[in-house]
Amino acid sequence: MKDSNPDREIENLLRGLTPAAPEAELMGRLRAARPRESNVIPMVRWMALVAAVAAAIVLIVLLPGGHHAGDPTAGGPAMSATVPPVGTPVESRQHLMEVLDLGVVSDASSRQPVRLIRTTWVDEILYEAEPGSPPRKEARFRQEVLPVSLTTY
Amino acid sequence: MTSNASQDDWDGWLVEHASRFLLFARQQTRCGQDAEDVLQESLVESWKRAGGRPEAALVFATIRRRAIDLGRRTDRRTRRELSDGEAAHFTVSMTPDQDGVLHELEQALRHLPPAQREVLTLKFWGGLTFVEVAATLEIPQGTAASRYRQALETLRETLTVALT
Repeated sequence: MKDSNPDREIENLLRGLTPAAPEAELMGRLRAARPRESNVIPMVRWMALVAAVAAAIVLIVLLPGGHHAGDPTAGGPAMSATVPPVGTPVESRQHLMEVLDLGVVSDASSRQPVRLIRTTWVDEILYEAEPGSPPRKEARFRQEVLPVSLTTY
Repeated sequence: MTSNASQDDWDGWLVEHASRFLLFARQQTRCGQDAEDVLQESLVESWKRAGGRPEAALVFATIRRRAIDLGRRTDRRTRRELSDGEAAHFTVSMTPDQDGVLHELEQALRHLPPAQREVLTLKFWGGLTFVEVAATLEIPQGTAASRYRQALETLRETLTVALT
């Protein structure tokens, strides 16, 4: 197993490129296009909302057998078929793509605060290839929510 | 007073974010003029829908939809030869010794497959999470993450060839 991330160098280079600012003429045009506040639009929106709610209530009341339980045959989310990989996996590389701080929660058992982070990975799996041909590569997406203990005093 | 505050807010938001929205608009359209039209339309629409400063993800999604609409309309008309010319999409901000590499990188970005480039743009310069990138482009989250990786790999391979 190899855990390397050779993408960092490219990402560092990309930081040297900043999206070009709009030209003065375009900025002037955008400034002039500022949306104007209007009291009419919110009122129209409210009236539309009230009308939609009223229509929904009427439909529920008038439709025969309005309370439909879910069709049990419809089932839940379809299970995606897992296609067995062809060949023998010979190497895997894990690429950490994103780390998101989900916030601090209280751990139920220890009653200590823990920070939850969500990591996003792309796992590359290389399969043994026929002689003379390059190895087949498969990318799998994976997310993990990890608790990180916080130091308390 | 309210009007002035709103104008200031609008102007401040433009100064802060217009560059990255313009970059995405340029990548989603066929020429600079289309990009500017789509950008203006999308900024105004997003602001109105949010009732103030919109989330970046909403703006990017609006730009994409407007660009698709415009593309369809353009297809129906007589097709003109449209191109973005050589308008600079980026400004290079690094030490002179990296200057050459960065210009190669900018060229490589232009030649990235569009599907990879739009993910890279939204994630890297747009500051979106993979969840937001996926929602904006209407693709699965795993696809967004994989395309981002592929984009970095393509750039690295292109740079290696160009600089050796």
